[in-house]
Amino acid sequence: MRIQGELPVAAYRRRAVRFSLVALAVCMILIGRLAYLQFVEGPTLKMVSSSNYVRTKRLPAQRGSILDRNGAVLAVHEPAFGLAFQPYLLKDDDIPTLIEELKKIFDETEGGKNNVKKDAVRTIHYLDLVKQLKLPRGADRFVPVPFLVDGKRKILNRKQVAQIESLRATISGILVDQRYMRRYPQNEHKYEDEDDKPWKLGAHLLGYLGRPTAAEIRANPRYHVDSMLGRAGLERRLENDLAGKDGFERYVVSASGREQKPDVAWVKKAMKGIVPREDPKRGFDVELTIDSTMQRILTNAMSGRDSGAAVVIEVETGAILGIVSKPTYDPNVWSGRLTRRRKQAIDNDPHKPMVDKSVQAYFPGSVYKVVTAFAAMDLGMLDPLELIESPGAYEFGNRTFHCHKRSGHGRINLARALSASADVYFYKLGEQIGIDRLAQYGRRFGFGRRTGLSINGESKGLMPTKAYHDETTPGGYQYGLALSTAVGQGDVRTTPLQVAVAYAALANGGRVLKPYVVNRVIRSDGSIVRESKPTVVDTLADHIQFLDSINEGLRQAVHDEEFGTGYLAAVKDGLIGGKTGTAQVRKLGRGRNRHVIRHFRERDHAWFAAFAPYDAPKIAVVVFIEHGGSGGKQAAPVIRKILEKYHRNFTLFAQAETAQSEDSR
Amino acid sequence: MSNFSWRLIPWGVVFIVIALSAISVINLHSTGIGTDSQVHVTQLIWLAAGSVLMFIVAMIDVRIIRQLIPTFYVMVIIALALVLVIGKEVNGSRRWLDLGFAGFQPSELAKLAVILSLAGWFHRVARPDGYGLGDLVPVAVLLGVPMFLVLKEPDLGHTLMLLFIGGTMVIFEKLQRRAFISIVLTALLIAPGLWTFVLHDYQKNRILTLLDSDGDKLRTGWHARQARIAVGSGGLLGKGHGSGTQVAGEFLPENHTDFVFAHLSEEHGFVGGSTVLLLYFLLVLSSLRAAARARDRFAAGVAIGVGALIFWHVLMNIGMVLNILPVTGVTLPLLSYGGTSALTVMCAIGLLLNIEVRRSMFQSRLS
Repeated sequence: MRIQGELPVAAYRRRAVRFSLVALAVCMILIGRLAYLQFVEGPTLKMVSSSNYVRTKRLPAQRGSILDRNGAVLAVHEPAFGLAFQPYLLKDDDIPTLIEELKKIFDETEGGKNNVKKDAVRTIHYLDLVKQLKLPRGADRFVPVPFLVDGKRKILNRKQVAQIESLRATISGILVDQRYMRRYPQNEHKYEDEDDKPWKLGAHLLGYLGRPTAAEIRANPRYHVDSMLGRAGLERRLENDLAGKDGFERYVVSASGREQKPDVAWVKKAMKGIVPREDPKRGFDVELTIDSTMQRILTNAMSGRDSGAAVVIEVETGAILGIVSKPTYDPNVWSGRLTRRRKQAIDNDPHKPMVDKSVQAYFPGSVYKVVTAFAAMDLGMLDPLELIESPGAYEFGNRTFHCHKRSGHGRINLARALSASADVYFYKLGEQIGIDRLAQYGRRFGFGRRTGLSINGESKGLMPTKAYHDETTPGGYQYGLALSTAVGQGDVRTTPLQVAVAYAALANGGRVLKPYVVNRVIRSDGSIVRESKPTVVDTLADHIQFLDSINEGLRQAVHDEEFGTGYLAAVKDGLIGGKTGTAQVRKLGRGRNRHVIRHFRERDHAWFAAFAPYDAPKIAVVVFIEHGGSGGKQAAPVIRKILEKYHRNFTLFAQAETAQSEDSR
Repeated sequence: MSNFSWRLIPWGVVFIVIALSAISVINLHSTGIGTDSQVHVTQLIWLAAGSVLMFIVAMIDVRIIRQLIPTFYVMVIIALALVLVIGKEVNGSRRWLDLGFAGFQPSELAKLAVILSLAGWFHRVARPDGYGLGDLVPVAVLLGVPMFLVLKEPDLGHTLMLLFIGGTMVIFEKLQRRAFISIVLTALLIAPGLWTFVLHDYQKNRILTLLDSDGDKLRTGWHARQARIAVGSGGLLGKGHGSGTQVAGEFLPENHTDFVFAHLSEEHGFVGGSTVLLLYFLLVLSSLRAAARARDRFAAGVAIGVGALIFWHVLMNIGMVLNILPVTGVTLPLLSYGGTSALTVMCAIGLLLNIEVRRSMFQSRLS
């Protein structure tokens, strides 16, 4: 073996040491970097690591039901079936077949003879399918894609569900998914053009659901893009009770986005310390004071009237038995199934279907005279038996105030003044009382403030005062305004619900009640969250004799066949008290509206307010027909229909009287 | 051969090799949990075969080795040329020769060829005053031919490995100052040209990605980012054997080859990661010590070459995993799954053992 004499041993040693130092430095750098990643960035990267694989799926809560006083379902959240595609399972080769099959399914089940839009439906489905089957690739392909029509998730009927389920045997990548959908079983319709059918009960009261806005989603963690929340009516007011609380489910996915089985070891370890699931909490059920039968009676009685409202409340409690507004709408459609075309049609309807007229304020006309009468007696200005000259017109200042009956009424007492609705009688009272005191008494009856039902933008109404007129009326307050106010004209505005509360007070001995519609809020286990009790807001009971005098006039208004303006409301079965109202509507300025609409807008409002039975009052009923014409001619018959049907269903009047009516039928 | 004695084997080096092999098998076992993968078993077989090869190489008379170098070198060059023609194409590059029973990567062997041929050349051509530029022409040829062929595959990682190993060996021998400066200047001058004309777009992207790893999460940045998440989420002690979510969830690609260290750090944390780093450091240190105590220029060259092989592999691979170097397909010696790689590294360490045994024999004879 050759030994190399010139081997630079010392130089090798020196370089080896230098190289070792370099290696050491590199080793330290790598260890340092390792430490940096694991200790400094570690906590962040740990979270990133878990967000790599943990996904959260929202489990929507079932919204509580709304029930009537007898437990009949008015609104229910129930599973609705839709079609969804699973991109990662869907084979490209299957897509043409799938389109054909689905077209067939939808055409067969929806292209029936009755559906005039058959061709349109077919085209929409076809184009939608072709467009929607361009499915996502990448990690998104594990998320099912719902099938939409008009941008809305298509709800399948039972037949379609069955057919799609059987299609699944041959084509992979489609599924029937289930989501909650709000249904208002008493408001359903089959075709779009049947908005105004008698079975649509109290849409305005119930309201409907809608999607949250971006701001609402940001402000309230309860809401997601997929949520539905109450947008109107009780759905909105009772949102917190009804909504419940969404749950969630967490699961582990791989990098490709595929869900992993929970029993695999790494999945178990990855889920350690992570709450895997929270069950959704169902919302509370709400039982209303409403009676579906009452709603049906009101809706039927109002049929043929274009626009208006009808309210029935219990005089003893203030519980609302029925409340409807016309025209109505279909809350099923509004809760996520509304097409733009349909919405436009509703928005352009001059009768404003979306406005809840039961809580909007209108000129009350003569139904308001009871307030004037009470005020005059309470102020000691009027003896109900005193005979007062009530001609056909009243000169006041440089103006002439006419009575609706130009020939006048002669010398009459309060009862006659009310029954015949003698305007001059009340002009005289109004002149004495003055506008501010009239407003005060109006407020005591519950006018000019919200009743507290708090739905659909309930109006306060308006009790005009001197100050009010000084501020808003051109030329300021004039004494003549007190006269118009006394007969429910001028600027007085009341809601049908307020009128019902006032007439209930007349009937129950002077207790002005807070009307309520929610009887009980109930947990799903049946226990009670909240229960409503009658609330007395104000009382007029100190002078019960004044109320009796007024009620006598109200009785005569209906049952005095010679002079009573409300005789068309007379029920054969028993006595009632009631008052007509025919409110003149101020001429509106020249609008761009079509002729027909302007004509509609210039007609008087027809009112009728009543309580029954006269001797032992149970209910107060108010009918308001917007621009309906004369209260005695238009509103009174509606009251009669309501009371007769109510009696037939619930025996309103005492037995003896009932027997009488049975004979006459 | 007749003078070989087991007693003379540096058992420290062997211990490190066994430790790293054991870690490799255990770590690979966990990457396959929940799948049918048997990579840890295959790796165990390769490592066992490699160990046998290591001892065989350690026992062969160094003169025989030296005589075989030209043949070996030519065979490697032929294999490298062959792979360009009939190699199996994987992910757009041809790096594999299909031997029927197993795939085989000639570029791995090229490293051994470079180490041996350069060491042989240094052994024959001694320049006490250092090598000049003219002397280095043969070195440039010996190094350049395999580099060119590997770059053609294309395999930038291994091309650089060859350059670094050869460069380290040259620098360890004495280089004339003028030659050194010329080489550095030339390198600086041609670097922009290399960037423009030689590097492929994906290679440039990987380098750019390193500078901004968040900018491109889904494409080139994915590997680096997922490796970083794996390492970082490991913490001090790691998530535990078989609990690495980055691998199980398929987030970490190449988790049993190039990114095996990310998986190890995720499951065994700082303790596991730094232990492995220290073992490699000790291995490099052993090589350098062998070079310092070498009895002849060939031994010194081989020792430094083997040390450089380990050093650069570890630096490039772990540097990549720790997001301080670009993503290149450089394996981690012994830990990464792969037969050719395991055999090559074992063979290299066999050479190191050979040198150490011979030196001890020489010393024991002197004493």
